[in-house]
This record gives sequence, C-alpha cells and structure tokens, in this order.
Amino acid sequence: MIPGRRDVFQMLAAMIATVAIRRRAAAASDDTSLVAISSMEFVGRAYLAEYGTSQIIAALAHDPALEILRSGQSHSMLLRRAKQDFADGNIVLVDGWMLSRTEAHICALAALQSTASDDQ
Amino acid sequence: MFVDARTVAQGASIETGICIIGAGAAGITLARSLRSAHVPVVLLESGGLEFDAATQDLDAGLMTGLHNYPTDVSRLRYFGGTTNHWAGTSRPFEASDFHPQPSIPLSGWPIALEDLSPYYRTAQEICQLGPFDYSTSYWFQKIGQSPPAFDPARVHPTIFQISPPTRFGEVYRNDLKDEENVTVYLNANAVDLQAVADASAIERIHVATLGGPSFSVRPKYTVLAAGGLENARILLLSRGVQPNGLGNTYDVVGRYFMDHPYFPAAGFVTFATLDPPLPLMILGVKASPVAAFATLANAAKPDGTAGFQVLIQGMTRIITGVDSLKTVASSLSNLTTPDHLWDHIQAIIRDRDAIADNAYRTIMRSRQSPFLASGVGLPIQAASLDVLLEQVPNPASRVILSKERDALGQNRLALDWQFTDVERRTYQHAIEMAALEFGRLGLGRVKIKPLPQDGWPSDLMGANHHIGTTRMSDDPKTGVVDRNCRVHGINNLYVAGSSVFPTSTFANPTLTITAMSLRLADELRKQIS
Repeated sequence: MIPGRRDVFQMLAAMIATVAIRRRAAAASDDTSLVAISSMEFVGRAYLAEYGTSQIIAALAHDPALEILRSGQSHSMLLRRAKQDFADGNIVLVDGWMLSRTEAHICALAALQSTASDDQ
Repeated sequence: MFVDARTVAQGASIETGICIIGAGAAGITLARSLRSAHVPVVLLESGGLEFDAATQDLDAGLMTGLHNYPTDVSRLRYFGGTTNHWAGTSRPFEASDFHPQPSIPLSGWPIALEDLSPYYRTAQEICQLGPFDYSTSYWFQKIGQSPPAFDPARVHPTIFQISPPTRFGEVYRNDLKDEENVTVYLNANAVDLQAVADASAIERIHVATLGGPSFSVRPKYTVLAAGGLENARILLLSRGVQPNGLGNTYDVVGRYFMDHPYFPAAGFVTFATLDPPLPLMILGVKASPVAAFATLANAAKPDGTAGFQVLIQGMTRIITGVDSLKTVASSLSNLTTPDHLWDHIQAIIRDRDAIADNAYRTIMRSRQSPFLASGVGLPIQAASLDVLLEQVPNPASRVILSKERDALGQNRLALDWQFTDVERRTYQHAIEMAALEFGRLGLGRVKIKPLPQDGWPSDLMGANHHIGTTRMSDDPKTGVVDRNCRVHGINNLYVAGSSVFPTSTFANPTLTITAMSLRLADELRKQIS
C-alpha cells in the first residue's frame, strides 16, 4: 500500500537532513543554492525522469522502507536504513547526486504525491 | 665552492671524481652526502643563484598530449631547482607501493621498501619535516581528536606532513659554498654526454653557457639529476655514439612519463552538520593546526585500478552562480534554453558577488578581489572533493625531442602526456568510494562530476611531478636504470630523481627523491672504494 500524502510529508524534515541540506547554513550565508535539491519533489522528479516512472512505482510497491513510512515508525529507522544502503552499495545517482535507494524512493513518492495533488 | 661557469676558460677540461648534473633536491642531497667521499665532486647547475628568464626559457617545450602542461613553469632552472617553488607536501611510499599489481603492467619496483627505509629518516630531516611518523594514530592523538570510522576496505585517512618548505638552494647553500671538495659551477649547462666508442662509459661532459665559453668535464662517475623531464632530454640529446640517445637501446628513454593527474571539484559534498567532524581533513579555509593534514586514500586496489587520494576542500559558502552563468551562456550561444532556467537565474543573482570576484581575478590575474570575503572563521557547510590519481606506466606517455631549438641550439623537448583506461576507472572508483562513505557515515551527500564520454575534463591538472622517464627495472627492455640507478650498459652513468621511479604511487615525490639520492650516494661511495 502506498503511504498517504501526510505520511510522506511527515518524513520531509528527516529526509532533508538525510540529503544533507543545511537550511540553517544556507540562511546564515544568505545562500539558498541548494533549495533545488532540498526539495524532495525536485529530487523525486529527477529520479523518476532518469530511471522511468513505471519502473520506480513497481519498485516502490516492494520497498520495506515505505512500510516503515506508512506505519509511522521512527525517522531514525529510515536514516539507519539509508546508511545501510550506502554500506551495501544500494545507491542511485540522481542528477549526479549519490543517494541511498531508500531516500530516492521517498523522494520519488513525494514527487508522485505532489503530481497527484496537482492533478486533483 | 661556487664558480660562475662563464668565467671558465673556453675549451677548458676539468677532471673530477663525480659530476652531478643538476642542483635540485636530488643533486644537492648527493653533493652534500658525497662531501665525505674523499673524491672531488663537480655539481653543474644550469642557472645561477636566482631566477633568470633566459635560462628558464631553456626549459620551454612543446605539448602534444593531454592538458596544457607548460614545461617551463612546472620546474625551475636555478640553484635549488624545483624546490624553489615546492609546496612541501611529503609522505614516504608504503611497502605495497613497491609490490607488483598483477592487473597493472610494469607495476612494482625491483627494490623493496626495506631498501629505502634506512634513508627515509635522514631524508625527513633534510626536508625539515617533523617526526618520522605518518600513522593516523600519532597525528590524531596529537590534536586530541579522532577521524570518522571510515570503512578501511574503501578509504582511509592518510597523513601528509608539510615541510617549511625546504628551499634546498638556500638552506644548503653554505654547506656547499664552504666545502673544498665540492665545486658548484653555476650557469653551466650540460649539453652532451660523450661516451666511449662502445658506449660502455661516459668519458666527457660538454658544458655550454649562455653567451659565454663552453668547456668539458671529465668525470669518473656521472649522475644525471636534472629533473624528470630533463634527465630524459639530456640522454636523448647525447647521440654521438648511440644515434637514438644514450641508454636508449630499447627505446625506453623518455617513455612511461607519469604525473599525478589532479581533478579539481570531482565531487561536491553538502555536509549534514556545520563544521563536520573531519579533523585534519578539511583543507582550505580551515588550516591544519599542526604541520600535517590528511586526505582520503585508497584501501585495496581493485583489479584494473590504481591508487588515489581524495582531498576535501572546505567551503564556507555554497556558490553555484558561476556554474549557472556558464551553463546559461553556453546554452544561449547554442540558441537553446537550459533546463531549470529560473533556478540558474536565481543562482546568478544570488551569487553576483562571487561572479564579480571570479571575473575580477581572471581579468586582473589576481589571487584576491574586493568582491568576496575570504570566509575565514565561518563554519564549513560544504566541500569540493578533489581527486588525485596514481598514474600507471604507459609507454605512449613520453618525452621526445622536438625540432625546435633553444638558445643553446639544443632540441627542445616535447611532452606527450597520455592516460589509459586505468586512470578513468580509478577516478570513478575514487569518487564513488568517498561518496559511499560520506553517506554511510551520515556526513553528507556527494554530487559526482562524471568524466566526459571521450577525453578528459578541461580543468584536469598535473601536480608537476615528473616521473618515470628513465625508469628503474632489472630488464633493460623495460627500464633505463637498474636497481642501483645505474644506466643499463653504461658503467659510470647514474640517474637520480623521480625519473627513476617505475611507478608513481599517490604520494608526493620529493621525500622519496631525497631518500633515493642518499641511497645512490652510498652506492657511489661503494664504487669509489
């Protein structure tokens, strides 16, 4: 089951940290250059475009990370899972960024949710 | 003592025990070490005690390969040689550097680390470095911090020490000035090594001066210590007996030229925390508190890859406007619109001071501009990841003689710097290993700059380390000198410097050049006795 929009956006703060977006740093230096990547939707859209929407949707259905997301378990579990992805080499390159597959999937989900919301 | 070669009588012939050609790190170390050998030593230096443009022009050459590699900028032709602009970065080679790597042709050395170890400690002192300890435990303990727990199977912090740096020509000038046994001829250019008829020995060295007399030196032993490019050039120019150059029976002289390919900004990391816990490892605005720093180096070398270092250049600002401007300009010149145009415009507006800074420094050829603060004191929030590679031996990468002549009528050199697929794979491996570890440790995420499909990036640089052109090998078909640095087939001709290194490793060469020179001095003492 695909998690709901609220579930996805509850994860944004945690995953923003995961993708190393330093909003505080950006603000301190009057720099918002990473706003693009800080947008989960932006990363998700890039991921979908580079790897194919249908393939990723199929993969999402089998990703245990989304079950963690849906069940509202702790963010730290997802962060641990992302770190484990890097340990295992379970990564994807999105617009040149090396991301864990878990966080890429969550970004893709954010993009899909956003698109669905726009369509409604 | 010092003698200006321009005052020597035209046609004079100077007898000596040992003649060293070139007064850089290798030549000066040899001359100092041989002071006690009870044999007269002549040290020929092309330049004087200070930089001179006309002499420096003798180093100018042509580039026919990768990268605009100005051969008269990457080295210096006056007393002290290239140590006159040495940055001082030092590290000894590791035992594994001497071992052959099955997947890399012509890897490995004919000697082992144990052969060099006795000389490294003295070399460390000569290079005015700290304790001869390059362990991470020593240096991190010294600053009371620990590095992140990098997976040792992927990358590991690797310590480099920083020399003041030692300007050999200044620090050791008086040693030679006051030494009766050593005569330093300044402004003396060795232009031809004249061998006996069967090329088994050198009998005379022809010396020329710019606009002055020419004369000769008749040594019992000769050491070429003129640098990684010039050593090969002098052998190739010495064609009196062997038409292809001395020591070049098997067409090896000048081949296997290596440097350390340097890729600035191969990756860009945004950190998860300000001032991330990377002690000794953040370079740039966060200078090391001690005379050492660490880079991330390769652990194992997977088949078909070589060694590498990843250097973390800390950034207190994240600037994308300059790249955005280039992207927009490039697209507009092709009459297209770039993707994410609005993002680029925002970045250009936001980073206008950085763009002005960049333009000012480019136009004014200045290191500083009034447009951008240095960032010193601000927290680190990102870093550029620079990658430096070990280049592997490649016979197609070489120094040859061009048809152009210098002021002494000698053929200028032409440098054809070439890579193989190994460098391409190693680049990819290096930046991927770093990115994986930054992610695994939760330090941040890395954006990887891919290599062009064909060729190499335009910002590729060399490290001005000229290696391999008279490489060491037990087999004269694959090397110019033997394990004692003697030119194969020529009894009294030796070579010093990084041109004898058969592989480049990832470490800077000067400390090892100095250690190898001490070892060669021992060998010459044995020969003399």
